[in-house]
Formats: sequence, structure tokens, C-alpha cells
Amino acid sequence: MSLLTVQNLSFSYGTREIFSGVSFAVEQGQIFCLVGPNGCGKTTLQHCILGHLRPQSGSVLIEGKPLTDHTPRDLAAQLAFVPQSHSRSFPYKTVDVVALGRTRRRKPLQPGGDEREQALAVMERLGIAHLAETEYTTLSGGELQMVLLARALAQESAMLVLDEPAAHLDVRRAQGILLLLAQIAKEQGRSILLSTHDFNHPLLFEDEGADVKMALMEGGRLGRAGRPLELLSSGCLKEVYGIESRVVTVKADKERHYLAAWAETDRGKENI
Amino acid sequence: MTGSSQTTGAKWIAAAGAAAAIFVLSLSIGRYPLTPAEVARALAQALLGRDFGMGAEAMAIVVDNRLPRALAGCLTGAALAAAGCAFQGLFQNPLVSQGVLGVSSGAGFGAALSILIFSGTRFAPTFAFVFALAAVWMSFLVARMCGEVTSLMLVLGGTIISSIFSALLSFLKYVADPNNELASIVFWNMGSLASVESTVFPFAAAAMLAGMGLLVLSGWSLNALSMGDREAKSMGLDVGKARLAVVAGATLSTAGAVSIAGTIGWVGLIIPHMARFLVGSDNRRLIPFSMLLGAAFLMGIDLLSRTLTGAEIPLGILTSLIGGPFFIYLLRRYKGGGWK
Repeated sequence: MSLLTVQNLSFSYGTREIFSGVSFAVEQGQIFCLVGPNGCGKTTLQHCILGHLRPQSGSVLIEGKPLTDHTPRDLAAQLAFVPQSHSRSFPYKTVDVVALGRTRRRKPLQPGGDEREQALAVMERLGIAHLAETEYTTLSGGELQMVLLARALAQESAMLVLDEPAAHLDVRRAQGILLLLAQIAKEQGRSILLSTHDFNHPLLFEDEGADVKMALMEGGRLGRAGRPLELLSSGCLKEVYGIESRVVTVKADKERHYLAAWAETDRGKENI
Repeated sequence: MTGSSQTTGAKWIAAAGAAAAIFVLSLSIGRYPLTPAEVARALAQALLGRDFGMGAEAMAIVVDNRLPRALAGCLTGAALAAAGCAFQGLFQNPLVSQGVLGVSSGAGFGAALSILIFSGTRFAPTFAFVFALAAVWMSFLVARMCGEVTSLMLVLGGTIISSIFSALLSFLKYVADPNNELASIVFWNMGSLASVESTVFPFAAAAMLAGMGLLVLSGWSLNALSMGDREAKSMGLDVGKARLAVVAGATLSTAGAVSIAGTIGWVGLIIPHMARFLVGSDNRRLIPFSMLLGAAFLMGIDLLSRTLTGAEIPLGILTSLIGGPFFIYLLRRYKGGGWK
């Protein structure tokens, strides 16, 4: 049974349709990349999967059970969320923010708890333990992204749902977080559902030896899911976006794959 | 780590010490001055039932007059501060205070209504309490009318209900007899601990204690809720229930406080900020610490209000006049305290 199964899902804000007929499945230990331009509905799709928005039709099954049958606590054991943007309201200590990932293990109105130590252990693993006593309102965008990831990891859920995790990061930090995600999927067997607008992210996961699938999202439709290298080499970008592309292989520390894309057709030129 | 937890411990001791000192001073200072030792003897005499040599006059002043007032100040200050923390965390907004869901304007209207109906303030606490609860309930209804109850809809509902009750209060003031009813309404709304009735006090105290208990236990939920409804939900918090507990706790605390002390602004807004500078934003520590500070602050303000001049100065005036400059000092001292 797949960890997450999405069947024929549709969502509209009033009469404005965001996406429709979306189906895909994510297996345990798999990284599934939703790839598409900004505004294509990736974030809305993730919020439907997390139960934040109610889709008009279709179903979301987690371990074969409909999303709405899970209590918030059960759901948090399955899915942990790393939002793309987070509004910081109060100057909490960073370690206290990470500790919130332990919420699902607490009883309602429970006093005390040893969450701080567990949060610190996760921060050690991610190399951000030095930020523990810093007020999180003073962190940079990249540091905040790591803190939100640490909070999601502290949740110890079966799947991580990340919305554009590398969007606001410089090359070095983006690379760092992507490699970390590949490692988490491979070594801990956790599933990852990730949205991105960068075709090179799924390629990087595949080069790192993770079990990766990707699907292109455009105009409210999700395309066929497949292995990144195979899918991107098949010329599907021309069908979907009307751009020419080729996967190039670079001999670096190992063989790495990148997507070179250019506009050639009239449609492509118009879009650019 | 050790250093910081030591200074944190020192801050708790300092706050508790300040609250205790102000409590004793409140029992000593007044038109009939007593030394702290005499106050201690009077309290021991009342508690233990043995004779410690205090006369009937001193006993009456300490036990019947100053003690209830100090206790009322202590509880009211703590309750308003705790409710302020709760609403600021719940609405992720450092600028809201205990009145955000209409508690204060509901209470103000209720008190005014009872003053008009009964030509006196005898039933003002009961009416204030009932209308304070009613206002919050209506805010919830308004939020629910627009679909799922979110924090944003709740604050919008509170704003609407608050303004309706404010308008109704203005109307009551307009039709009130200006020679005595209007003065009562205006004075009640400025806040005072001068006429805390012993028949009402136990009920108000029970509401405040229950509310504060709920809030102290909701510290973790508030931390999660202040990340936003969606993030809190994805962490596994039952957002609806957790929010209900917080709103219930804050409403009971505030309604109990305004029913005996009238509407006292500023405490619920400013005390949580002062506490945040001193012990940080974690609501598990912030709420109890705010309660200590709030208790000390309001007892101190009440002491000043009855000793500065021959007549009593309403609390609402002093909380702002003294709290404002003190807050400016803290802002300077802590350079904004991590706020961006």
C-alpha cells in the first residue's frame, strides 16, 4: 500500500479552478517532486493533502485511510509540513520553535516536558545547534528554513511535505538542504513530497541515488509521473511548456545531470 | 546555559519578591499607617485565632478593609496580564489586549445597563460578568457565520461586537441622568478597586483562578497556535479545542477581573511585553511570570491611586500614566528585545 494516494483531486476557490483530476501516489522512502512554475497550484495541492483546504472532489488516502478519518494527532504522525513562508510573530528561542515538532506526543494541557533536549538533538544533527538560544526573529531566511526543517524532523513523521524548500536560499545552502533531504529519504526511509520550480532538483536527488519520481504541473493539471532523467529526456517539456530542452551530463565528483532549456518555438518566445 | 538559567531564576525571585513587598505595603500604608510587623501580627491574629495584641481598629483596617482590596488587586492584575498573553499569542499579534473579543466593552455596557436599571452599582459586577461572556460568545457566532472559525475571523468578529457594545454604551451614557447615573457609569469604566463587595468577590476570584489555571496549562498550545492555525494543525495540535481552551481561560480571567474592578486598560497589553523582555516568549514561562508582574503592578498602582491624593484616582488613568513611561524605559533598555 502506498503511504500517500491522491485520487482525482480537484480544488477551486469559488468558481476559479486551481487544479482538477490530480492523481499520484508516494511510496515509503520515496521522494516525489511536484515540478511547475509559480502559481500552477503546487502549494494549494499540498494544503489539500495536509487537510488545510477541503477539495471539491477526489480523495486523499494516507496509509489507505481517508484523510478526514485521521485525528490531527494521527495525521501529524504521518505528515510533517515545512511551509515556504512563515510569519514570525514573537521572538521565541530557536530551540523552542524546533521543540514544537514534539506537539503530537504531548497530551492536551500537559505541563513540563523534555522536548528541549530532543529538539537540541535534531539541531545537532542538522548542524544548527549554535542557533538554539538565539531569538528566531533574528535568523536569516536560510537559517529559518533549516529551523523549520528541524521542527518537521523533530515530529518524526513518516513523510515530510516541503513547499519550495530551496526557493529563498543561495546556491550553497540550497545544495546543502537538497543533499540532506536525499540522505533522509535514503537512510531513514522517510518519504518526501516536495514542490519546486527547478527541474534540476529532481535530477540531483536521482544522482544522489534516492528513489525519486517527479511530475510536471501546469495549468491545473498534473502530468504523468516518472523518473526524472527518463521523463526530462523524453521531450515532455516541449509538450507541456513549449520549450526546447536537453539533459546534459557533467563529470564532476561523479556523473551529474542538469537540464539545459531554451526557447525556440513561437509559443516559447511569447511566454518569455 | 547555566548562567542564563541563573539570571532567569533571579528574575523570578525578584518579581515574586516585588509582588510580596507591594502586598505588605498595601496593607501597611494608608490614612491609618501600620508597620509591616503590625500587619504581620494582625494577619497572624486573624489566621491563627490567637491574640497578638492588635486592637479591633487595626484588625478592621487590615483584615476587612485593606486585605480584600490587596487580594482583589493581586488577582485582577494577574488575570488581566494572563489574558493579554493568551490573546496576543492566539492572534499572533503583539498589539491586542484582553479586550480583543469584546470582553471589556461587553462588561462596560453590562455595568452601565445595571446602573440605569437599578439606579446604583449594586448589580454592576453581575451584569458586567454576564455581558462580558455574552460578547465573546457573540464574537464566536460572528466568526462561525462566515464558515470555519479561524483566528482571523475570530478577531474580526471581536472587533465588530466590541464596536457594537461601545456604541450601545455611548447610547446609555447619552440617555443617562447626567447628575448621578452618568457619573457612576463614567467612573465605573475608569476602573477602581475601592468598592469590591465581599458578596461578589469569591465568585469573581473563582472565575479568575479557573481562567488563569486553564491559561497556565495552555502554554504549549499557545506556542503552537502562535505559529498560525495551519502550522499548529500540521504539528498535531487539535486547533479547535486548544483555541477554545485559551479563549475560555482568557474570557473567564478577564470577565472576573472587570466585574469587580471595572475596565482597566493597558495591563493586558503592556505587562506581557515587559515579561517577554525579562523571561522570553515561551508561553509556558511567560504566562506565570506575567501574572506575577501583573499582580505586583496593579497592587502598586492601586496603592498609589488611594495614597497620592486625598481623593481616589481611577486606576485606568494611573495604569497608563505610569505604565507608559516605564514601558519606554524597558524598550530602551532591551533595545526592542528581539522584535524586528
